Parts: sequence; C-alpha cells; structure tokens
Amino acid sequence: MTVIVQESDFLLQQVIEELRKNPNTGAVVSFIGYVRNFTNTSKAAEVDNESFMEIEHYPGMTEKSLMAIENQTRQKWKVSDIRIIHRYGKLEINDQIVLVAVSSEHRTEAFRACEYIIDYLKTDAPFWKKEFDGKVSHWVNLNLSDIDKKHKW
Amino acid sequence: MMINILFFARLREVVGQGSIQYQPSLVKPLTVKLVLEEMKFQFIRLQDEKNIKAALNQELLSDWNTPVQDGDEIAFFPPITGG
Repeated sequence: MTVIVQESDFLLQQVIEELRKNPNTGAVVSFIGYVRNFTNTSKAAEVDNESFMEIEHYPGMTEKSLMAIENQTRQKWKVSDIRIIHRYGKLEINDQIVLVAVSSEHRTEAFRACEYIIDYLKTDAPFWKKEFDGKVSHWVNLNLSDIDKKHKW
Repeated sequence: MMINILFFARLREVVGQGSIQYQPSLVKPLTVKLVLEEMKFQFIRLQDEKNIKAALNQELLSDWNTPVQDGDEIAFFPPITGG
C-alpha cells in the first residue's frame, strides 16, 4: 500500500527499509509532521493529558485524494516509490501525524516530490484538526500560507 | 430522487449529525449550490458558517453550479486543515 490512513502510529525506519529494497533507489527523502504544542505552556512536563488533538477525516475521499496526489506527483517527477501515511483520531502533543517518503534514483526528484506531496496534502486531503486544552476546544483554522505553498508549484 | 449528504468537522457539530438522506423538493435542475441553500434553510445555524467547502462524490468541488444527480453523495465541510 502506498497510501495509508490509520489510527495507529508508524515507524519511519520501517518505511525507509521498504523503499530501499527497490534496486533503483539512490535516495530517500522523508517528511514527518508532528502535533505542535498549542497550549500556553512551554515545558513538556506541564502539558497534561487534558491537552490533545482530534483528527477527523472523510473515509473514502481521503484515500482517493491521497492517491490522486501520488499520481500527480508521478507525472511531474521520475520517482521510484511513494509512501503516504496519515493518522486520525486522538493524538497528543509531539505525536506523529503524517509521513511522506519518496525514493528516486537521484536526490533532486525525491526532494521536490516530497515537498510537493505535503503541500498538496495540506489543502486537498480531507482532514480536520480540533485542539483540546482542558475545558476549551477549537477547530484549527485554515492557514492561508498553505494555499500559497500549493500554488507556487 | 435521493441524495446522501455528509457534514464534517465543525459543520457536523453545527448540524448535529454526520449524514442525512435528502429528498429534494426543488424544481430541476438541482445544483450543489441549491442543495447547500436548502441545508441552510433546514439547519439555521449553518447560515453563520463562512467559507463552506464541498465535495461531490468524493471529489473537491470546483464549481458550485455543478448539477446533482440521483444517488449523488455531497459533503459539506470547513476548509481542510490536515497534515
């Protein structure tokens, strides 16, 4: 599976090992997105278990949109393999949210393709984040710079 | 004619449910825009929501005047914030 939407965590090293099995692999570039500390507390120990994030998605469309992004990417760059893993459900601060890994013969294609995938994923894959901090919760707002990043391609 | 309508994230909370079956009473031709207007009539709190996005049959909508067919799945949601 090149595109996976799952509740459980993932292991970067495991994905890289899969990609390097392809004899054409000369480079692997990976990106991981984490849950940032959205609370007013800066010390990790003070971030209690009442601070967490919930990620909702649109089952069916999510997978389709990620596969469409993968296909667009393959039309633009000569890459060997692509892995996209995105989590949903309850996540805590510092948890891994998303992994994009791309392998290619040479590094340039893998670097470009990896950045392209995460830029498109941010605006086209139907995920929504809600932050909970104690008794307060709110849906994360659209970041306009994400749209600019996508349009630069 | 029956349409499956889904609501996600903030809009799901505003509407109070994630999906409804909608039997349009409007005259043809029905568009996604007209379906949203009907939803805003049924769920008044949707009228306060700005920047509503939509997907038709699991594809991001580019034109609100896209016609709707029997059996279509329409999703309404706030701007995407994944990654």
